[in-house]
Amino acid sequence: MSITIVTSDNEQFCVEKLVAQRIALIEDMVENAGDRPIPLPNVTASVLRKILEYCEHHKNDPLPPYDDGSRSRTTHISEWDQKFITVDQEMLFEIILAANYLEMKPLLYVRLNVPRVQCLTACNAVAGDIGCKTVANMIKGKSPEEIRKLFNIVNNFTPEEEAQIRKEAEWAEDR
Amino acid sequence: MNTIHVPLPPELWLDISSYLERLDHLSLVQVNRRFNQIFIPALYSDIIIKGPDYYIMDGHPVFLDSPDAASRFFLAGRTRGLLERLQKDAELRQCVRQCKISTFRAPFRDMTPSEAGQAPYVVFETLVEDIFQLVATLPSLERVKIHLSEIPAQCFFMLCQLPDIDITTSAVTMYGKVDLSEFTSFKVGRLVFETSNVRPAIPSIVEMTLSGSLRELSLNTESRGVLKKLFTEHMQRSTPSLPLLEVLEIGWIDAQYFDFFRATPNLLELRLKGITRLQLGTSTLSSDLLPRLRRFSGHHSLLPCFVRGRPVMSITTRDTTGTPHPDFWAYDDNITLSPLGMNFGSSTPVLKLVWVDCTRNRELLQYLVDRNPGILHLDVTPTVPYTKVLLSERLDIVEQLKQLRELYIRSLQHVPSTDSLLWEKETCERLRRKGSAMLTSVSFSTLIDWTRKVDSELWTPSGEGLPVYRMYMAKLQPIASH
Repeated sequence: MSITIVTSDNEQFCVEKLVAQRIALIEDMVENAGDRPIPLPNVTASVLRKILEYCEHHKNDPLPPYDDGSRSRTTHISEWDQKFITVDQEMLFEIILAANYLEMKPLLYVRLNVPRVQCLTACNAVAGDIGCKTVANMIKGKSPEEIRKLFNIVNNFTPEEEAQIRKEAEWAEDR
Repeated sequence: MNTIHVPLPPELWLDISSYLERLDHLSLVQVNRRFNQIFIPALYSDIIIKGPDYYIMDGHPVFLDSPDAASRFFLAGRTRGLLERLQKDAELRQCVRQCKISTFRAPFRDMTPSEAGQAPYVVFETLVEDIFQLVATLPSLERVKIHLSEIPAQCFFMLCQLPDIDITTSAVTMYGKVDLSEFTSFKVGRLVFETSNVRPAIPSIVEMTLSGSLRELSLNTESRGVLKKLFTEHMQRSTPSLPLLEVLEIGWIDAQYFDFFRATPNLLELRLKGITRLQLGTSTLSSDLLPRLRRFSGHHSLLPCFVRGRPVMSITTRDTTGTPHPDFWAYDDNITLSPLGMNFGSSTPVLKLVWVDCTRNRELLQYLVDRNPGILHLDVTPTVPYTKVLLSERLDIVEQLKQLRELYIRSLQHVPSTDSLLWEKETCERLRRKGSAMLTSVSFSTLIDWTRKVDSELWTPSGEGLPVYRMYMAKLQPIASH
């Protein structure tokens, strides 16, 4: 069984219900929409295509390795995910925004009766984790000027303000 | 253009900032006004209050003629600005979740630090008290680390009042009198003392543990006398006095204090550092104690006593030389294991086994694998590297683990060569083919780790050894894709 999704740029996607159900927002809409297409006014076709590619790839993920909870928050991204997220900056931010809008975090364990740990891993990865980790990896170790260049940001501080901020945050250089 | 192509809402930037460290936050707040506004909470979520690199004492030249001497924090070095801002700005105080207080040093005057009732220089004490008073008013504070400092013991207890607070001290000396009547209740959640001198405060620390709020307690460098005091106080209570305690780390216990564990009915993790069975004698722990224990860390000779009959699923243990316990000899190939019973003595299958320095343990490994076929994580790194023949014998046993996901058997020590990398890669493939299809991570040396994606056949090397290998050979690619 499949459902139809319409993106903001008016493209229609025919999606297997099982895959679509991985997206919480759509699952909620399916119940009210009946046979009508489901509109996603905040997501473009190119972004939805990427999100669905992710859902498709991760739908059969096995349980993650045994974890006793002692792991820290790492920025490690697996090989497939790394390739998946190798996109231009605009698309990267679009994916993060769309995943956030589609409420992808809680979807799997609530909807598909998949063990919670597995779902959290898969969903967190979509709902920004790999996107956010990728942006974090881009920022890591960079100076303010390098970050400005990276995101094409203009420095709108006055030199006095800049000096003031540096002075106020001097403590943060300590270890 | 003063914004990025697609501006993310602040909450997503904060998600991103959770993967970054303080120095990155420091860069981000300097980017532009918008970033400054977004990332200030991230920067102030983890602060460091670091003292100057000199002793703070009365009459130090740095204090003389200072026009700033009126400031409450003027002796605090370059961290002074931070303290003054926190004092003034309630919004900033709200941001702080973690705080490290480090390097506040003072020489003690004609006394040993343990002498209660005496103090080092007055200016120093006033400064440290002011800092702790400020820290104690941070409303979102979750974790405090105090490092390399002398502190009035009373200040430490001031922090222990904060709900579910996590406090670690390392290389800290506490001094001075403690008056617990100043405090209404203690709600500390996690308490870790690492190589600190807290002697003058010990009676009060023990008394504080009786408040029952602790979830984790680590006293692994504390003396026998301190631990005796702790055990005795709790044993005298008629009801469990540490009902929330889930993790305990200690450096000494004796069979006569085993009843201490009646105070900790919900303990999930026990770590015994530097204790061997010889110290405990042959007495056993009553079977109704530690009924929920899931993780154990300690010398192998303690396993029969602490693991047997309990639902332990994660074991971290180590071999040593010396006289073995008659029940459990593991450092020699002549092993007597029968008293252990099934599953390494645990009442449930062991899933994670880390066996440090397990040089001559073929029989033991076979025994463990036979009884714990569900092991997911196995680390059996020897002290003395195995020869390839010995390693291969161990790997034949490892093949019997059909659920294994991670294997560390770091025995090879040479710099990787084309031949050794080929051997490692082929062995990973063989272990997966003949052993566990779930295997995704293997390491035969500290230099190279092999990993595989769940849905991929391809094993990929990484680790410190690779750059060296590449430098000499520049031919890794054909191996990786072989």
